[in-house]
Amino acid sequence: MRDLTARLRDIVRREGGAPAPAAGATAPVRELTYVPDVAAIGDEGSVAERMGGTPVDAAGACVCLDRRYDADRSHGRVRVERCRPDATHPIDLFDARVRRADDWERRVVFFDIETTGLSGGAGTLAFLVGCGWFDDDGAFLVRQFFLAGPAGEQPMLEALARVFDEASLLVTFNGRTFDVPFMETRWAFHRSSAPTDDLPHFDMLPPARRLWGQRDLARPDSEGCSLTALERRVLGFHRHDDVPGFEIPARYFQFLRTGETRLIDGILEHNRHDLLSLAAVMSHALWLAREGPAACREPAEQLALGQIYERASRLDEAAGAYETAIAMGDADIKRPALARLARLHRRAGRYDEAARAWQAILDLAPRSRRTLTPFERQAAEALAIHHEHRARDLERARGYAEALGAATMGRARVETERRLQRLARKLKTGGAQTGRLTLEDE
Amino acid sequence: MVTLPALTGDKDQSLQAVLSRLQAEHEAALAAADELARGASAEAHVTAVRRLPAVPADYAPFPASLDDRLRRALAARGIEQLYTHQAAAVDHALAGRNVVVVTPTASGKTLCYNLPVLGSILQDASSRALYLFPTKALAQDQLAELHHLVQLAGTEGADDIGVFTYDGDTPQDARRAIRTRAHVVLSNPDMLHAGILPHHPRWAKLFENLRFVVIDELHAYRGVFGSHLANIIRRLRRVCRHYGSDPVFICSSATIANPRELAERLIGDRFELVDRSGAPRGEKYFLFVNPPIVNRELGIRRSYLAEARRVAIEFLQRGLQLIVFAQSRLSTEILTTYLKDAFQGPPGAADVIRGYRGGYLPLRRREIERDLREGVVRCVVSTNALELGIDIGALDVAVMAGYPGTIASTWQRAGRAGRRSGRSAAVLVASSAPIDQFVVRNPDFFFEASAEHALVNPDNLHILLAHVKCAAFELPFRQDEVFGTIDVQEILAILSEEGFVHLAGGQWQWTQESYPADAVSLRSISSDNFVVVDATKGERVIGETDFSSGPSTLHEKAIYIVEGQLFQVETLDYEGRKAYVRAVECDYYTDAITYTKVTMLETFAASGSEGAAVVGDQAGTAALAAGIEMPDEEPAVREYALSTDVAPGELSPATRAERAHGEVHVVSRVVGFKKIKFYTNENVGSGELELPEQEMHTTAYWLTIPASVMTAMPFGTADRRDGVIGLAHAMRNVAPLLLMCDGHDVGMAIDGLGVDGANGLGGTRRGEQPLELSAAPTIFLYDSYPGGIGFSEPLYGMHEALLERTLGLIAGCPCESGCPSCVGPEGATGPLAKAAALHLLSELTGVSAPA
Repeated sequence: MRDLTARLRDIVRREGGAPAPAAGATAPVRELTYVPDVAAIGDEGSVAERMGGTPVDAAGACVCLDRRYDADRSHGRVRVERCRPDATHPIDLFDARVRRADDWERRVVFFDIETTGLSGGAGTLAFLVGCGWFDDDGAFLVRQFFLAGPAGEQPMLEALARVFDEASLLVTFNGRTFDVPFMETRWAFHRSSAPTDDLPHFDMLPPARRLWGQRDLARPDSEGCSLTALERRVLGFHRHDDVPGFEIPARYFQFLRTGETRLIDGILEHNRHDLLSLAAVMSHALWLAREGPAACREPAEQLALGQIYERASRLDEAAGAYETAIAMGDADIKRPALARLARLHRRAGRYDEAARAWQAILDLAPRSRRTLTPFERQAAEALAIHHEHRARDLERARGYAEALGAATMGRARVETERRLQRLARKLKTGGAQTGRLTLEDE
Repeated sequence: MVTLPALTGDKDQSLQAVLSRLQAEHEAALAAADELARGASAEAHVTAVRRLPAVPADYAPFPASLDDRLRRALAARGIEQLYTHQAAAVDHALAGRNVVVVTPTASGKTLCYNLPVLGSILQDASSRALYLFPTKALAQDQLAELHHLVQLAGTEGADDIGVFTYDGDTPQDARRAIRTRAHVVLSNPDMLHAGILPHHPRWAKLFENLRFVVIDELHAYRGVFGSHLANIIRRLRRVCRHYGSDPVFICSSATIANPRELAERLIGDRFELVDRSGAPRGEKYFLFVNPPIVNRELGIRRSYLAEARRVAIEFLQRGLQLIVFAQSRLSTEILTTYLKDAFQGPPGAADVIRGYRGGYLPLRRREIERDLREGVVRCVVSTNALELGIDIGALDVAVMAGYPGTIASTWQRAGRAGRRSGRSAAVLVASSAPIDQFVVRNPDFFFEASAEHALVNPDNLHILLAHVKCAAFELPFRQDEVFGTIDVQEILAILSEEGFVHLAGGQWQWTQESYPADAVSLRSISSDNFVVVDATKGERVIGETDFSSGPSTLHEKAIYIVEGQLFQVETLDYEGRKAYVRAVECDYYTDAITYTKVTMLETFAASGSEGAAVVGDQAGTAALAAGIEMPDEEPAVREYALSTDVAPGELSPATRAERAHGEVHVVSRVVGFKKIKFYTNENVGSGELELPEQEMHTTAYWLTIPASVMTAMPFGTADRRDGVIGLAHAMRNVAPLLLMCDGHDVGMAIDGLGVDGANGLGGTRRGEQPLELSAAPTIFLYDSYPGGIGFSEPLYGMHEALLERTLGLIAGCPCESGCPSCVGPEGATGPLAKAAALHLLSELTGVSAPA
């Protein structure tokens, strides 16, 4: 009988080995952008020493690394001190749960973690947690805790809790879904209560999506709303030799097996850039919200800003933002901006202005095209209603309804047919009783 | 078309009337047979009628340890005292002793665990309990029951007791609230394995305060499923230790031979056993029906499905409500079709006959269960899916189409009919499968034997490895930690070589991005399944099938049946795991032909070959290398020349069967299918299929017939081959009886070319492929699960008994030259199969067969 080891090995291999290489292997299964020269790894000093940090616990299983970015240093197009969000800016436009000044009293802490996987669960670790804040001189301070070994987690969590104790507001990018629940799991794992429970938290991802996300619709090739995409677009910051996110867990596992800290250097840098860019993007978003459409560099931002004002019931500012977007933007921006503006006007009882906005949408359409886009259908329908019931120009109403009729299907088609029949009836009887709105239309 | 009488009137009388009729028929048949020719049909039609008398209740006072408020709540429900088994279970649980309660159906087992659990929560609001049910449906059922009890206790301050199910159907947004608010979580092993344990920090509150773990239907955790559960419990207890809790386990089980042993194997701890039920039972009749032989030469009996249909109709016409159990999904659908044909109600009326099986969507199942309780459905035809304790109300009759395979499950199914008072009946209709025939011809074997042992093998290396990975993900292993009986440190060292874990600071840390529980499914070989998409009108998912049975039931042109409605598979998207079907009308169903090839990898132990044990890792070729293939012959040119090279007397014991057990590689492939006409079972066509192979490594017992025995057989080549096939067929059917396991747990193959007997409808059927038989053919009986479930070694140990029982089965069969009940139907084997098999057996055992 084969021995147990051989049988076990056979089963483990047959069922698919791990993507990470064994200790000392020269050919990693997943290609890393940095492959350590295993032979060259020395034993000089502890992990903390080799990384240039200080041990948090006696055993050095958790390492603390501090880095300062001076106020006058630049991060892309902006200087570091300008990355600091202003406490007087209208943050509540983005998240009503965060109060404007109260939560800024003490320290705003930017927070980002690097983990051994995205699946979550008890076996996934946050091996690097990064915190950043501004000092009184406008410099950005980053404090990172790194797990040199799994035993360092408890001291890491304690040290992190001390940072959070100093904070009055936590800022993350997607932290409401990922970073904070993830860390809460780790505190629960160690059976201690999470210091994040009562800490106000501002997650920059949803506002970023509202401000910069809709570009995707018009430009399917755009990079989306990742922090690296935003820092390029908003801050003009380009990373060099950045560690790709998917590679991070594999690098850490290899560090565990080889002790090569140079595998980690890139991850530390990646995490620091994430923190600084997060601060800068947030600062910029708040600034835009206060300055209004004139400060925007792109019409898409103006359109988005309009929607943000509208959501907060600041309708005049919203209309202003839409008007700017209409003036500056291309057709893809103009159409949604016009539609939103038209609705704002109609809600305020400015029917003629609403009609003009709708008409402007139709005027954007090339003459040659017969079919209607969704915006144009909305516009044609709104204009048919407007001319039937308010302007009482039945002929024009019929014109819009006919254009609409050719372009609709299903239920909308039935409604259009009904409208056409009613218009025909009214035209026959001389439009005598056109003064009232029918229930169907409003 | 028949209209059904209302579900009212004196049910006892109606039941008696049907039973009398069935018996009278039996006597008339006997009398007629007497008149025709003595002994022509000596076999009884109803082979056994047993009356199980009513049993009165046995009460005990409430245990003093039980919370007073709960006692008052029960009193409000009219419960003033407990049955003895309930009191004993509550007493053990509250004293902190693990307890397993063995109770028949409808004996109030839920109070055995609900009382200590709710009592402890009433006394300490932080106390928590976890319930595990083998299916989601059972958890739903118990949720209603628990809610009711909590409501009753509500006036006593139990308003805040949170009881929730947590399974795959729980909406994402409700999960967080459940994790913190639930005092009692009702779940299943799959969810515990993949949803709860890997995320234990989120459940910290539950694990810190876990007082009780309730495992219902413990007997369901046999074989692979049980081996998985044992490992999940190891993981659960590890996590509990991390959070400082040490829960008491309360288990309930149907009747099996070894409930305490099973509980102790699964939980890894000592158990108290409570196995005397104090619950009253009504009178019950148990009948065995053997369909009459219609062709004596071929040993063909009347179809047991047709017979089950006839019996069911008798009861239905008398206004009784019944459940019909079928052996497979296919036979369930066929019986449903038959009964629907007989009881087609007026158009638009609610269906009174329904099918029920795994693969139906949950909504449909809930509807059927409800309609059964409310009496709208008069008859449900089900697979074993309804064998477990899903609440379908008290039915009058249980009809079993085919022997369920084990004594335990037969009693369990019989128990679905019957109330605490009043009469009920259970009828077993035997198929022509050998095991069925053995049982109906030997009623005492069934009524007097103990139920089966439930076996688990938690240290199956495949299963163990999978769970060690999961456990390492959940909590780093310490360097001195133990997990089961196999050295876990050695396993971790190997996992470390492959990069799964890394040893640092005395702990094995998980070093993978993946989530290991996702890769492990508890119920089948692969976590994959096939979905069935009806493309008749738009696309609609109408069912699903586990991965391993996908190819045989969803191949192109297969007929897929849902509650009697026929669909034909148009395309099977094997990669996408989807089968597109279209509704059809036809009068046949399909039955796949599967080829199985077994290759020896390693012999663990062997004996019988010239006295020397074969031990080694290259034994794979040992049996096959000696094989000189005999060319297949034209069936018409049968050779009857006697081989006289070796006189039988010269055979020494050393040349008798070489048997061994070890590791094998099993490859099976669906190669074609047959079209079988409904009702007549005529073969009306066939087709070939090209489908991917499915393969596994498992353990097997095998028997090699020495070349000397083969060549010495006084039969022609084709008949020798038939003899081997017949012998294998019979052995494959005797093995589960000896192992006391389910027939599906054991697979069989000969030499290399497969004969799959577990195919299709109860009557065994086999591919009519030409078999190339080597000079020394080998019969494999393998565990139908990767890595084996632990049957091969006992089978090797029982080799002598296996051959003797097989000899007994074939020799004792009343057929003339082989039938489905012994060596297989004559159509598939030759006329001398029975004689050749008997000859082989007498050579192998040294016992001559009775003439």
